[in-house]
Amino acid sequence: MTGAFICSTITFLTLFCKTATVDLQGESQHSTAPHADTSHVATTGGHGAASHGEAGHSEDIGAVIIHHISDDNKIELPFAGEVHLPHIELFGIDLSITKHVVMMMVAAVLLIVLLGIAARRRSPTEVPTGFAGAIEIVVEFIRNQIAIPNMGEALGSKFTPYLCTAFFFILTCNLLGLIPYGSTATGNVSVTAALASLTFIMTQAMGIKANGLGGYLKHLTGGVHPAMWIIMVPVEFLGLFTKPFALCIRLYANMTAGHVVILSLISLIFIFGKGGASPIAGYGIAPVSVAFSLFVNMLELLVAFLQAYIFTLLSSLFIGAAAAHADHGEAEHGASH
Amino acid sequence: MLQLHTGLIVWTIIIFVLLLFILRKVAWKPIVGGLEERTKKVKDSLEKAEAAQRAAESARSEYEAMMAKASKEAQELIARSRKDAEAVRDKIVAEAQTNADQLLQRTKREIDLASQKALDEIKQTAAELSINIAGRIIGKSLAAKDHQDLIRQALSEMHNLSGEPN
Repeated sequence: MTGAFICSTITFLTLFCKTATVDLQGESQHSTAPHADTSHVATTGGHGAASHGEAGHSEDIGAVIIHHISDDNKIELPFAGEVHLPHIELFGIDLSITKHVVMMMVAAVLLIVLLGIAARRRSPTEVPTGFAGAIEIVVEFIRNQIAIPNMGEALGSKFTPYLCTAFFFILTCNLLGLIPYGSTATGNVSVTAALASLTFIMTQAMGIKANGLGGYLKHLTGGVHPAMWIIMVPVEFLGLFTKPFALCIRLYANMTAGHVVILSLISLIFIFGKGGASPIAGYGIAPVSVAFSLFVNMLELLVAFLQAYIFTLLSSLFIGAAAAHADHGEAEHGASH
Repeated sequence: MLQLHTGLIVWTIIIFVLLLFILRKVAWKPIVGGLEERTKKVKDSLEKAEAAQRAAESARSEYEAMMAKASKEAQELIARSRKDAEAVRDKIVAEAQTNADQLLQRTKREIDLASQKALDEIKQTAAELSINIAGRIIGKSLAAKDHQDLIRQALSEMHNLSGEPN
């Protein structure tokens, strides 16, 4: 709890500084010190409500928020400042290492190191304690409460590595977005689309493997009269994509929403302060903003775990359902639709 | 906001798939393997414990049955022994009684016999003596003095006779 509080406070301070900095960029190239306040912004930037009006200022804040949650070609580091990332282009595809790619790499390295440590033990029958024990509980939960109940004993055991990797990778990416200088890779629709497409590929592969290509294609007809196929096949075909699409959008939206809310709450200080024109209103609203941001940050901590769990659970359900279609008749399938 | 960047998708898939393979080797296999082994060990231990419990219970019931049997046997043995002892005692007492009775009767009979015999002998001796005396009286001319001597002699003989038991 204390850790979360400190983390939230630091995040808030970081965001505060960043917002203040970005706020100024349009008007001047002056780099604001970390302890910039609204009056400082006003005096150095000369940015007043009188000259621009409130509407223009709100647009700026919107841009700031969008900029903050979007991918970028540069990364901010403590002390080092902004670091530009290499631009790579291969076969006409822009394969630049962006901020979110870096965050995913950090997540991957963290996971390999931490889970590698957690997995090391003196004897296989020894009960691990501490961090290793906690990791083991999560792995056991994914295996025994998610994978095996939804996919059966054999398939569940086979897919445990995939589900565990998905859970820990998404969780780590989510949490990296909550720490200072971090950025939420899972708040990027391309990233979630890629993750959902992996589940989609596995779902279709398991469907074909369990039912055979014929059974898989027959399943697309929905078990109705051939005359209805012209309607049913497109519907079933679309149905294949809706589930992973929902998976992709759910994770993306959940991870983005919290950040937008926090940034908006902090932006309230600047909106009320009118860029320094009314510092008392700005300072007045600050405690409210901080309190709400802290609350939303806590909520985000919960959401980080929840969304990782939901992605894992739904992936196992989709794959399990695709593989289990052989078990129930087409009539039943038709009735259930 | 919602546009897809092919590069980012490619990077995500590359990173995720690599992570999947590395973690499978580094983390999931040891952890799941450990879990499975531990599950197996616990299951084995439970089975062993159950078997041991079953064995202990059967041994216990066997032992209890044996104890019950032994106790029953011991009681039977005691009862039988007591009965036997009582029978022996009764027999001994009865025999002793019989023996004592017999001995008493025989003794009585012998006493009777002896006293009868003694009486008979007394009678006979008395008769003989009487005959002898009578003979002597008859055979000799009896003077007064002689008569008195004779009686005295006879009496002393009788006295001697009574003095020495037959």
